[in-house]
Amino acid sequence: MNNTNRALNRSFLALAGVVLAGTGILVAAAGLNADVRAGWTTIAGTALTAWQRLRETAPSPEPLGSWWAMAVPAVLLLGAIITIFWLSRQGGGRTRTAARQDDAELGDTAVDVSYLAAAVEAALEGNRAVVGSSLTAWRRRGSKDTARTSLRLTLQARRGASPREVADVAEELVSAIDALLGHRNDVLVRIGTGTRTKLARALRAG
Amino acid sequence: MNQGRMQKRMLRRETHSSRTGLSVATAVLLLAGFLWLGAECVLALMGRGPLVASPDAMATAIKDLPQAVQPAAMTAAGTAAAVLGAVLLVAAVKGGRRGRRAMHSERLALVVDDEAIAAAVSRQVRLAANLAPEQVSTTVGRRHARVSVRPTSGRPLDREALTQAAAREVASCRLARNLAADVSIAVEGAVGR
Repeated sequence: MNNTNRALNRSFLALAGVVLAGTGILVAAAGLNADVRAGWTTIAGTALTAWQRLRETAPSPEPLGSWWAMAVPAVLLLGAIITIFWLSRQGGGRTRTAARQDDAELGDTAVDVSYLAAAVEAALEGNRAVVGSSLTAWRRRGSKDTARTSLRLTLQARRGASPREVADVAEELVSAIDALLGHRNDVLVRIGTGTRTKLARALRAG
Repeated sequence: MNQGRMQKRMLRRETHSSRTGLSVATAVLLLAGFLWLGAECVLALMGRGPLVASPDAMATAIKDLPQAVQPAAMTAAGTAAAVLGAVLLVAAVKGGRRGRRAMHSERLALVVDDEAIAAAVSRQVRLAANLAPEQVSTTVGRRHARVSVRPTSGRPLDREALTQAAAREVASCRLARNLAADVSIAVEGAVGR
């Protein structure tokens, strides 16, 4: 779980898909149909001539030739910057601080997520349904309200363990965390299977 | 955001793909394209030699493409590009469900892997039929949990009882949307052990 803007991801993919598919269909049509081929050459030729004429409208000192010619790399650079910004927006939001309370008189208190993770680990010691756990915290983008930190608890179930049994363990753990922190965070629990599940012995029948 | 809405949002995000991988890959290719074209433009403006081809040469090449390339090759390349575009479009529109589902809980946003459900169902069926672990396997699909059982030779199994055992385990999970249990018993048996 993170702050990736998923709607934007999908819009971007849709846009890229439409452009790519459109270009592909045009090229394929040019391959199949002589009229399209002729049209292609004519339209491209016209566009090139128009561009030459446009370049002459704003001459600049050599070696540039035209201010319009400068505009092309500028637009490309802008595109590159937007793309980099886009890439940097993927993911994010993970934080080490599970909870925080600021008090003018008593000072600020922060609870590190590793403290809670260790507590969960200790509580699960010897549990027969769960073989491993991990706990992470993340904060919504732009949210300053630290009480709104959300927790994500992953429990690796032993092979064959009943998911409801593991879920009950999770409910208990989370109410203990609530009691420890003194307020309720949003908690996401995932009951999974992983490498630990594969390596650990399966739940015995008896 | 209130508790219920946040919970729904977390569940949705956990059970569906974010499409990050695909969109990052596309964005990186796009970025490389932008940077290369930008570099070619700048080099051409400074009057230096091109990296691969100058912008003018590229424009002319695009204009003359239908004459320079065989129609069959153009059709093939165009079709390939169109298919790739269609793949991106499908990825953008389709749900992207992961192999996980929501379980009912008051306090938590609770998600369980399909694999964990399958393992639990297999175990209950195995206990009900008194079989070895490798004789039972379960696949969890969108709406069904399909259990396939290989009976021990000479010991017929009660399909009804096994279906009930599987259904009981699935029901005990209290999934947000229940799964139908579906047990099939193989005709050929395994050698007893």
